[in-house]
Amino acid sequence: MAKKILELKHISKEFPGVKVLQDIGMELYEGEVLGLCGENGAGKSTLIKILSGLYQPENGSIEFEGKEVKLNAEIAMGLGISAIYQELTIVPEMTVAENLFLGRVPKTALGLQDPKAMERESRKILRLLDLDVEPMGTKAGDLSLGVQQLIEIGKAIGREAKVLIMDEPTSSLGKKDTEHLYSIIRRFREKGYGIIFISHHMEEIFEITDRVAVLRDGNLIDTRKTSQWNVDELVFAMVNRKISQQFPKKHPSRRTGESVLKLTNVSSSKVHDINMDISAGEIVGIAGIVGAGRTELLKTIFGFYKITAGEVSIHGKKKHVKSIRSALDEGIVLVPEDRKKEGLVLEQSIQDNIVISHFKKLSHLYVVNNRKIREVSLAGVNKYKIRTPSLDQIVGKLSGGNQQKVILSRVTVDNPKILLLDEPTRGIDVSVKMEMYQEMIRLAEAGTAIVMVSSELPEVLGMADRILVMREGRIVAALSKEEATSELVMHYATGGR
Amino acid sequence: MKKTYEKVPVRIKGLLPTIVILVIMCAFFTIVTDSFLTYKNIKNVLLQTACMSIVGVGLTFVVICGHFDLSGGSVIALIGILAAKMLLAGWNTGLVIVLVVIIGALIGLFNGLCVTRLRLVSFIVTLATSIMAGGLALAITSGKTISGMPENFLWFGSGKVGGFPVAAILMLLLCVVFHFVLSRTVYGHKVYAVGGNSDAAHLAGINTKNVVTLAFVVAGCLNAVAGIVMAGRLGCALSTAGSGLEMNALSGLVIGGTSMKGGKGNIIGTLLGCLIIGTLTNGLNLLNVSAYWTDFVRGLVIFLAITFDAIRWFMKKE
Repeated sequence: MAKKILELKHISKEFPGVKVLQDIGMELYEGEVLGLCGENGAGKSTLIKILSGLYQPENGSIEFEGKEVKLNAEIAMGLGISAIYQELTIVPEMTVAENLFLGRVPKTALGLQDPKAMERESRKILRLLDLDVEPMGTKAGDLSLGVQQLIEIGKAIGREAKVLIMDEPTSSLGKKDTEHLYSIIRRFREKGYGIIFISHHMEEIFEITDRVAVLRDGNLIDTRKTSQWNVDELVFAMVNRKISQQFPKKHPSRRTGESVLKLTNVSSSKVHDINMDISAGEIVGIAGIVGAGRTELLKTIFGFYKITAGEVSIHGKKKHVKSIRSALDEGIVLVPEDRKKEGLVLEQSIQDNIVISHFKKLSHLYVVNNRKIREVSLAGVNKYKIRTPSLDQIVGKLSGGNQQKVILSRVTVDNPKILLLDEPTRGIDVSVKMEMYQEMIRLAEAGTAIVMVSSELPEVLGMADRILVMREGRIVAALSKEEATSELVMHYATGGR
Repeated sequence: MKKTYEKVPVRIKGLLPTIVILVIMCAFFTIVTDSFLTYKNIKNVLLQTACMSIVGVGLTFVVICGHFDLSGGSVIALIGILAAKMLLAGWNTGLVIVLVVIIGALIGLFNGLCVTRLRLVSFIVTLATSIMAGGLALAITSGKTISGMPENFLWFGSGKVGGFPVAAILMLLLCVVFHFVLSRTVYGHKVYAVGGNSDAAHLAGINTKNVVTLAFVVAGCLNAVAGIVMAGRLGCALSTAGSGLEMNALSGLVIGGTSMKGGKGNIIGTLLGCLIIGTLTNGLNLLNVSAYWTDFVRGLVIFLAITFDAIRWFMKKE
């Protein structure tokens, strides 16, 4: 049996109100690649951050080579635990060598930079990575994404790493770069590194890992040798759960079936060849893993990204939605994914945030009508029971759920024809979630066509009449409510056919 | 049971400290000098503050949008000189005023388009514009002073209505008008939204680029008006006329509570802030403090004002 490098015992982590990790026990051996799987929000990122010392667990202990350690970022680095995140941390304006030695430049006896040592060491690392790059003369920013990713890894092994954690390292790589990465990973495995490999892609997991651990809702579900898993079992372990929530039921008879939004072969810079046809009163769920193009699809419909091909019809008439303003004028509204960054002006009042899209209606000769503004925002606050002492309350001080209700109040001032919801219940508590679902039903029954993007599969399965699965900017499957299951959706989302 | 909520003018709140500072300062100068609290001196302070406040009003729009305009001082000089050249060529005063305000607007449009369409940093763009305008002023005059402009043009800077300086009346009038624009019009609301969170404003259907560009145009027009007033006050046009004025106006803004991060501020605050700077300069003059020390004290007051604001902000956070 190989030597144990890392052992986690009973690790738990809580954020205010949410248990992110519960009683995780996990081991990592020398010379193995451990795959880590789980849906969005299963707790993978939190676990990595604990291992690289960025978060401290509330409970449990971590043993490194048999000794208990308390990790912070510095200690983790000192022990040789390196994490490589999806977002690159390359400094594009610096040379490859400078990037490899960022923050720990070799020095001469006099304390000056030692370019010779830097060049020598850089070449050694680049040879390990099979990279044919001139370390001193090349700016890192001029290299391809794949090579930059490998340089990230080079930064980690330059620090005498023993444990390498890779968070979806292949998500931005082409086929050739991915193959290259695999060969490097295999080489490190032979050298006795412990490697944790996170991926949403089933083929990759089965290709490169020795063991696979599955996280779901903060619990470690199962760890087995890769040869003892098959795709169906793995997907089942990732998504199966008791349905803890009841979703409100829609009155099916109110559906008119009249086409409200029709996209024919629509492409933008972010999504490709999209076909969809949504009827009045219908709720369409869009599923997919992070980066599949779901948000981008909504924003393409909303006029944020320019449509480069195909056509959009609204109520059977061909329309050219060329800006957000024209989308709003067509009755298309969006509740964006990140309400703090994209949804709200946090330092302004509830009232200001509700009326921001409706000045045309609330003004006369460019002068705003304060009485109408108060009426409209008061109506919104009362309709959604936003808990606030005053309409002039600064939005940044409200809870997440109430903030979301402010945005909902804004977009429903006029009954919208098409409501685009991007992660509508992210970060809000269960009771507000329920209110959100009820409002979706109410709007649908009133004839609004709803397109909902959510990373919470049960929510998509529970609320949507139809589910479109996206991958790499395309719709890869359309499933009816009856045929859709977590397994099937994940199967398509992760690259099955 | 439906709730109704009482009405509070949120954006005017928070002006109290500025008013307190102004009152304390006035009280201090009234006690230590004989001549501060006289009708003549008050008129003087208002006259001296006029140009700064007019520039400050335009700047308030730009800064609430989250940008800077450093071109005020040089544009004042350039506008004065262009006006003088046209007037001396015998052009009608009314026509000249319209023309120079349009030129100011075009300079603002240039700044605005550079910032929104070319995505250049406003600080740098307006620094370049400022240097260009100043350079043009020097090149046209070869550094010489131009005098001999007709009385009806100089009236805006040195004339009086019922014994009260026209410049001060103009300043107050512009403050009232642009306070209304900022607080009551659709455009004003959009300015606050864009400055508070440009991405959110964009997704809410606001054409953020046009809002920002228009703010620079407003600033350009008001810089031109300040240029007219300045030429009238000095009785001549010269290439150093408004030098440093934009920085004084910016200090007034900061003291008046406009946030350099954008999204916050108002015209009344700017006016009060500029009055504080003007009163301070005037009072120190009356005390016969040397001009060099005046600058030091002005710097100190700005520092204290922003520190006070930062401390209040921290206390709120806690």
